Amino acid sequence: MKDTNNGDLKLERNSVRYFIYVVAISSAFNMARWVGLDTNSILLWSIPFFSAVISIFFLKDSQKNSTAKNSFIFWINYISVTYVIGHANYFLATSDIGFSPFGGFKIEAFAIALIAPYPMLNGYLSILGCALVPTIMYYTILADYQSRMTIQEPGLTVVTVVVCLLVYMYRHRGLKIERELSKIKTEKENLEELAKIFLSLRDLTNTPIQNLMLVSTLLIENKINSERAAKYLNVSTQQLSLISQILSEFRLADRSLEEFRSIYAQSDPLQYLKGRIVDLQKKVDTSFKDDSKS
Amino acid sequence: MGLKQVTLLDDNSDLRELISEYFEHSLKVKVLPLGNYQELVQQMPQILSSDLVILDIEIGYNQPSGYEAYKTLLQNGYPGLIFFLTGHGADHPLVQQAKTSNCIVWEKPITGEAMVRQIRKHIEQIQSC
Repeated sequence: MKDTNNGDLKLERNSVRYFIYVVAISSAFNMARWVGLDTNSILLWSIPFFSAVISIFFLKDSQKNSTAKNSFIFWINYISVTYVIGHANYFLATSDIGFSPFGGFKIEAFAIALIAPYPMLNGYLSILGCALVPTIMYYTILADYQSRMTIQEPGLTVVTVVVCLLVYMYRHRGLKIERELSKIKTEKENLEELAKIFLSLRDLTNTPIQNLMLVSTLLIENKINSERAAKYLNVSTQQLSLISQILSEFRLADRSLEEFRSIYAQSDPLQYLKGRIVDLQKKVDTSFKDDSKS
Repeated sequence: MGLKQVTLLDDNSDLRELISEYFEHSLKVKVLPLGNYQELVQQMPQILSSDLVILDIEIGYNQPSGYEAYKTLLQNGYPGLIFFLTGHGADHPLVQQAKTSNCIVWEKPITGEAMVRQIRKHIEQIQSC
């Protein structure tokens, strides 16, 4: 569970990161466009540019990662870039320069749809915003300048945004399948590892069985005294029953591999099992010494 | 039988004792038991005079394997027979590695009789050459 949660957070951070890169690059491009032409426009585009550049530092892998933080950074950058796009549109509409109305909003909506930010609510709301803000502007502050814009507006922007919403939905469907595939792959790897652990447990039974065989041969040929034979028999059967006990504990509790690992080892279950067998052997050895003393 | 001394490397002390005991009875040989790779290196002069070395393949977690011991023996000019003894399945990487040596690989559990039979067969082959 913990792993999948981490995976989602990572996905979230990466999507916000890509959005920030797009904001930074497009703002830098707009700043460069106005060099020597209009200082105010450069200052205006420096707002999203610097907010994006600062955000990059807060999205470093070494920084703490949480949904709230990622969403906050996403919305700060979204609001700053949307404000500047709106401002630029107002400025152009009120001037006599030829311009493509609400072009920035359309590009923004497409960028968000393709980057597919996560969680999905952020994506849907931000794309919807790209239709709402220009439509409100069109009927309020730009009401007197409607003739400066093409006849299709604001309908064209709204339709573009609807298309972007569909693109966003399909992007997420693809990403969901990708996530599920990676989950299946992880599960498969876990099962393979579990099979390896069980096979290794089987390998651990071989030495005690070998010892039992040799003891029985020596007993048949009358080459070993019964007390020493009993010691070997005892150790071997205890080793075997320990392995069996470990296996049945696992089955009864229906534990996941992670639990199995945390119970039987910090890193290597087999090393731990072998440690347990060695401990057992020592215990058996000392108990026999105690017996012989008494 | 030209067999005088057998060296046995295995990390399980019970198995070392049992094999030693069994071989001393049935093959009438002296068995030199070794618990790990370090002992093998330390006791190399005695080992070189052995006629047969039996190496457990997995001798302790994160320790040099029986195959490393095999290579060390060859580097030191050991001329005699080498057998491997393993508790792992044939598909285990360490066992695969040992099989490249063309030595006999015994898989545990193996009966004492089978061990003795194979050792006798090989010694006789060498003597008839």
